[in-house]
Amino acid sequence: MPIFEMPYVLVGDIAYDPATHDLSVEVAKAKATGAEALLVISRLNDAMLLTRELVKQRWTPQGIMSLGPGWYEDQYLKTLGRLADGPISFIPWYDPHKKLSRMLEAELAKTHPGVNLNTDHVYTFEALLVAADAYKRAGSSDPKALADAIRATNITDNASVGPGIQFDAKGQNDKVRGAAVQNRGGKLVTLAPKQAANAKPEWPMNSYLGRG
Amino acid sequence: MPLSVYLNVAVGGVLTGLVYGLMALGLSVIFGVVRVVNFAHGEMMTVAMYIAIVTFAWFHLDPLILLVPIAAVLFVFGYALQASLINPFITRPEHSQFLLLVALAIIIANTLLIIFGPDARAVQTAYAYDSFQVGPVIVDAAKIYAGAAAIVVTVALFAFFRLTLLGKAIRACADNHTGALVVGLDVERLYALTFGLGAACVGAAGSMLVLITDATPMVGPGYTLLAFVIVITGGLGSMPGALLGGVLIGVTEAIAGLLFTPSAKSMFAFAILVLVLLFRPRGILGKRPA
Amino acid sequence: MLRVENLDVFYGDVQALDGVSLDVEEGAIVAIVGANGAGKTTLIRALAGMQRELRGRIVFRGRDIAGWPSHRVCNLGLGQVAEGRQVFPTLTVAENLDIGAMLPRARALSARNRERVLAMFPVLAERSRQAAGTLSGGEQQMLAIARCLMGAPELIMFDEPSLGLAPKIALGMLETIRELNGDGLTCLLVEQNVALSLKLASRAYVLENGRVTLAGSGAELLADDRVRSAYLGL
Ligand SMILES: Nc1ncnc2c1ncn2[C@@H]1O[C@H](COP(=O)(O)OP(=O)(O)O)[C@@H](O)[C@H]1O
Ligand SMILES: [Mg+2]
Repeated sequence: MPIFEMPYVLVGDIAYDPATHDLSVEVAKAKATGAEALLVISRLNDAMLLTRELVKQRWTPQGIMSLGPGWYEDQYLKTLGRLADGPISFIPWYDPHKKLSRMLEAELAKTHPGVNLNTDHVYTFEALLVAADAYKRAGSSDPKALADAIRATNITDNASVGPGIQFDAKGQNDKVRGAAVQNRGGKLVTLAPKQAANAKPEWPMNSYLGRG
Repeated sequence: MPLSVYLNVAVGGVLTGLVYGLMALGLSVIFGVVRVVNFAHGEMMTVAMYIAIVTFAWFHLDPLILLVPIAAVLFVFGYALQASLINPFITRPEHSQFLLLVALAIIIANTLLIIFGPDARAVQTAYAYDSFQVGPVIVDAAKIYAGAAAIVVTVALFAFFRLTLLGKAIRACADNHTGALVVGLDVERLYALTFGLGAACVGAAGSMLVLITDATPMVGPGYTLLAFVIVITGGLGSMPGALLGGVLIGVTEAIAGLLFTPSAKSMFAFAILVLVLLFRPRGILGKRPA
Repeated sequence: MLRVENLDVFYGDVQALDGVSLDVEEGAIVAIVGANGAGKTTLIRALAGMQRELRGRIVFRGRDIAGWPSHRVCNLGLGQVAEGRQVFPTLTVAENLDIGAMLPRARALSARNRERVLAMFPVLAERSRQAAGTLSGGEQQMLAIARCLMGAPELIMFDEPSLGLAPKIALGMLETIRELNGDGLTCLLVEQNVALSLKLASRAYVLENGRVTLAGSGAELLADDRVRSAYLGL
């Protein structure tokens, strides 16, 4: 593992089978380390299993920080209800302050009530945006003209966190910024980066006890 | 690590192991009497789990109450299966029986896949997140209920085999097949009954297991394998052996997960199996073959 | 009571019985005599519904039972004390008797029958809680007979009841069969002790390579030269 100059101590790391159906031992072991925070890399299923075990084993770390999917997904929020609140996910996200984001949120609420806008939706939308923009500038459907137009993309009015959509020589949009998103009251709030934040972090997270 | 952690994990292992033991008991009863290895055992349990999940979703009936009707449904399924498909295979070579049951397993798993899709499903009981604290030990409420129910079902089955005439007749079939024919027992019907009872164990175990873990259509083979490991460890044909084997494997996996890495815990279950096969091939409580 | 007509029995491609016909009258003891491998056990198993690859007629109490499964045959009153005793070794003596009384025809009579067989074999009462596998050979043979009687049969087929028993006990076993017959039970007897079984029998058949080669009263066969040289060593 690479060493970073971080003011944190990793007190332990626990690997588990992603197809597992019981994470009680894993959580018992994590709890026994006395860790202040839990860093998780999981998917939906194990995220729910882990949460269930945290509740049953009566352990609320100061924070749960996820570096992947699972913890912010609609299914997680819906299944766990009030027990879903607290975890913070570090993921690509949209900037809730941007005009397009607000439009997308409003449109989604109308057509699919109860579904939270997420990066899958936003990226799909932005892909269409890039294609439409390129077609408009190319003025034809000639493949070469379209490809050139896509390379020259410069969209600043988008939804993702960051300055906008431009592609580097490798075709990557390296201007996209990661974000921190926390589950709060069955919704998702953005904590970071600063320009996208619409809430302050809740830290330490509320105890699982008495949330029922 | 503080001692209480070991205690917590061990208690959880015992309770889960009891449910595993009940599942394995079904396999042991079927093999002990009918002499057919039920390679569709895990899939039958998956069916029970999905019945529990669906009935819970529709009617909000607690899996612990559902245990009885689900065991009954699986009983009928097992009875019909033995009476229609397996009885004609009793005298065929073992590899044809194997193919028959593996085919059945594949059909069951894929039917579940078609109906329910590949995602995991679970039940959310009122006590799904409850736990009891006794001194330093925190025990998962669902596991306590499931473990207790496993004991009750096993005791009931044990009493059936020891005390009822029908139970004695089934034991007689296992004891001496020729003898059973000689005295005029309807062996095929008793076999069907036995397969039904084995399936009922699996049904009961499955409806309790949904309290502890969630189900996907593809969990079957893992449970079949687990049942084999437990039955061989505990002793083929021994009812207390199946329960003991279940508890032993449950605790071993839990403690091994704690001491080493959880992802390697099934390795330790197999290590126990290998040790038993090396030093006591008939299993811990298995009887010496006559 | 029992009439067998042209019975052929097969083990796959191998024919073990070929056109066997015989008659057992009510109240009789009928003996079947034959060398090892002649087909005596096969005959009994076929009559009992345990060997069902067959052709021909088996008429018992007016019904053609050829092809019936064994549990239906038993329930019609055709009982069997099988070769090798076939007790249930891990069940207790009492449980073995319970199983014998499970036939629908015998359930209501179970208490009376138990009294009767325990009076006949007091040693079984003493060992009622013992596993049958721990009994001596003679005791196991008594248990096999007692268990069969619990099923309230009208005809019992005995297959080598004295095989492997000490001579004195073997004689006792044959004495038991005579007593049972005296009480009105019809018997079909396959017995290695040919001289004794022919003495007991009112009628007897000689089976050779799956065929009946000789039939007559017990006394006639005892006097027959072929029987005397082949089976009595005289
Ligand atoms: N299960 C079997 N499969 C094939 N052949 C058999 C089987 N049992 C008996 N036989 C054959 O049938 C013939 C008759 O055997 P059996 O009825 O046991 O004779 P017995 O009782 O007169 O000694 C023998 O040739 C024997 O080898
Ligand atoms: Mg014989």
